[in-house]
Amino acid sequence: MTALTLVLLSTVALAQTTATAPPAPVQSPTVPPQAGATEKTQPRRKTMRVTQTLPVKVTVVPDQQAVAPQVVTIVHRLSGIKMLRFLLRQSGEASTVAMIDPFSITSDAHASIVAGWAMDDKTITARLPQAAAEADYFQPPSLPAELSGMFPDSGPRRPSTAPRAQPDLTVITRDGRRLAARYVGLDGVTGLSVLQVVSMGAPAVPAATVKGVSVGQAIQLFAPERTSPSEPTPGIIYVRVGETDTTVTGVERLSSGKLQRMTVHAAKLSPEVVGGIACDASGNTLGIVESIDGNNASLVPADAAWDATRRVLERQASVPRPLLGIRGEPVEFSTRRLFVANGWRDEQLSKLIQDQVGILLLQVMPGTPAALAELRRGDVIMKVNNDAVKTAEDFSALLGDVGSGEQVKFTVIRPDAVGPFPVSVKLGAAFDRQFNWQFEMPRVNTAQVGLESVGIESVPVSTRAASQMAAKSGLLVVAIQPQSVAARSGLREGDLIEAIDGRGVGTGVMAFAFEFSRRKKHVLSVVRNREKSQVELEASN
Amino acid sequence: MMKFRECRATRQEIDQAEAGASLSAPAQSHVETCSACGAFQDERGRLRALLTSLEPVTAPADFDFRLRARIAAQTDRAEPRSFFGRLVLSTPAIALAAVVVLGVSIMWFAQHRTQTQTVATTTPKQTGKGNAASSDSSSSQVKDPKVAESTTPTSTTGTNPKGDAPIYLVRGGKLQLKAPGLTRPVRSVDESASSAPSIRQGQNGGDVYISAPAKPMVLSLQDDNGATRRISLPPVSFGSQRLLESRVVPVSSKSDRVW
Repeated sequence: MTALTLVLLSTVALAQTTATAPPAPVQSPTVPPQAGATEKTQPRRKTMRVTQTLPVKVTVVPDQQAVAPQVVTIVHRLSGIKMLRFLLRQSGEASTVAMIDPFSITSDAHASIVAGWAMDDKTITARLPQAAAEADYFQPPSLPAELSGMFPDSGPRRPSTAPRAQPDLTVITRDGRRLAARYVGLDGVTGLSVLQVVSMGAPAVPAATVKGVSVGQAIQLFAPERTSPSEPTPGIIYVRVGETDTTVTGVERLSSGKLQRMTVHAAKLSPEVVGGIACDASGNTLGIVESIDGNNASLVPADAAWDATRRVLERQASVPRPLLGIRGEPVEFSTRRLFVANGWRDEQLSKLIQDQVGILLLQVMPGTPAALAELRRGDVIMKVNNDAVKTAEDFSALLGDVGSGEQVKFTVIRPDAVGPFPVSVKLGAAFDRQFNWQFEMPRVNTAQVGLESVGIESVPVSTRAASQMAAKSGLLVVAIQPQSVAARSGLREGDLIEAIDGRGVGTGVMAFAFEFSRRKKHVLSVVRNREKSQVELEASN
Repeated sequence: MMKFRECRATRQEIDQAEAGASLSAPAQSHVETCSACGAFQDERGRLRALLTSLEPVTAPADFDFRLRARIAAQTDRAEPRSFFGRLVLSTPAIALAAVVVLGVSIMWFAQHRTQTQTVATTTPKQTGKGNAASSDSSSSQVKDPKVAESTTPTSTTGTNPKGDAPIYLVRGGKLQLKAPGLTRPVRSVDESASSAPSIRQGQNGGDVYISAPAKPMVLSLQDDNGATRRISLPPVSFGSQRLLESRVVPVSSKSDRVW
């Protein structure tokens, strides 16, 4: 039984509105969010031009004989501004919006259909492809010491109690029920997102004891995929939850025996299987597909997914991955030559190389927790708290267990020190993967850092793009931090900031920092829906 | 008369000649003496050059699927056309219908403009049970409390002497414009509202509507060096695959990692 859930996406043509030509875009009556939900959802504001948007119908054909009922289908809708935010966060580069359809900014621009794992009757864990657009975070500004006092709100972000704008998520169970989901948060370690619904009414299948997974075992991957019925109707996209037969080809474990990663092989793998749920023949969940390389797939084991879910549920918010700020190599892979190049003498290495324990630090990034704790290049971290570090995976897992923002004690040996000594480090936090491959300090865009201090994430737009929004130039607001000064003052995502305190924010203004003061009222000149207005940033006490 | 025949033959030869091919001697000599045919040859030459400069048009990936589906649909519908059918589809009939539609539209606009000078932009609330409309209450300007129960306007543009915003009512799936000061609402139909049914949690086999876009979202991002990247985002994607390849990530074969 392959096809268990059919999701029918049909486009229905909209009549062209023949309204008179107003300067502002016509707001069309849009499709409601998941109306069947009993959860309270944040009202979504839809501003769109009717002629540009088609409603899509999703029809679920229930199938009670699902092999793995814990596999659900998630439909994640994103507006244009969220997609822009996703792109900017994904690239990690300072960019200017050269061209964008102004009407697509606040209207739905994309819908992702992904698999989810119902861990119990109300919690779902999934790899949402555009989760970065939903994560409610701001990177703390990295400023030189002499500038650190310029932005009074630039300290660690306080937990927000204000309800935030909820992502538009619909969960469709295998038996055809549809539920509105609440986005709880993103786990920075695994990249998994956690959602919650009121109740699915049916117990989910518990996860298998993943220690039993072995190389050669046959497992199946469940993921939504396109299908074509025998008599397709033009204009309709048919989707089902498909199954892909795979075989386990690799199992990585931590020193503790805990499963860290699995790899599987299939005769043919499609990119659509990424995010799919891996189950054994009995339907027990074994993991979630993280990535594919040809016909091989890498899986986050079920245990790691459980840990990620626990972390997010405990905080009821996104959990960034711990950031230490080092580049290192496990001692087991380090050559004698590498040790010597990093300050070790040959006679010191015999025991170190024989024991093969620890992580050799090859680089310490300035300004990071490692640098602040005075860790140095050439140091070897032997233990995290009281646990010995043997492999890179061990080190990652131990840091993940400690968690971002938490204090950790390393046991370190150093070439010119006598014996091991403790080093206490308060771990940082990071969501971006950019840090992984760009080992340098992020560029500081002072203007945007200044705006971020009042809760505004923005991107400059070109003159052409600004003119499409009835502005000369400006900064497009791509995110508003909940309960921030900007949020309290009524600024919205999609607003275009033309001027701050009367000073235009053209391209030249990016060279200086806006000095936002707590005691002073600042006025933002914004363009919203092609209409100019002013937003007064309230002064805080 | 003779010249006309020569012109016609020459132009026919010009039309049929391959790009860059030379004309026959009589045609060539005619072109040299006849300015009209000379101009005709130049025009055809420019047209050919323009066509050659165009990039080849490629069919979309699903062209074959869509074409076959359309052929299948047309085949199912294919029936001998009656005399009336041929009459209806004839050019004069279509032209007549267009004139009628145009006339009705002009009358409707004229009537509409006299009744209200404002244009409303609203988000009607779906009337179905358990169906919630998307709206922004912060900008609502509902003046009539009776109507407010069934409508949720979000914003208005333009001016109205009375300061009242026209509002939409949803009645039986049809959208009606009720202008302020009018006792009877002006009827207006918006197909996007008429097709959204109610959805209840737990119901089986029903429909869920999502407002996915009709076409990819296209935007351009410019980096610090001025290089512009054009990005086209598909309206729907499946799985957690990368929509876009971000910049090239250096692949390191070394065992070093970053924490």
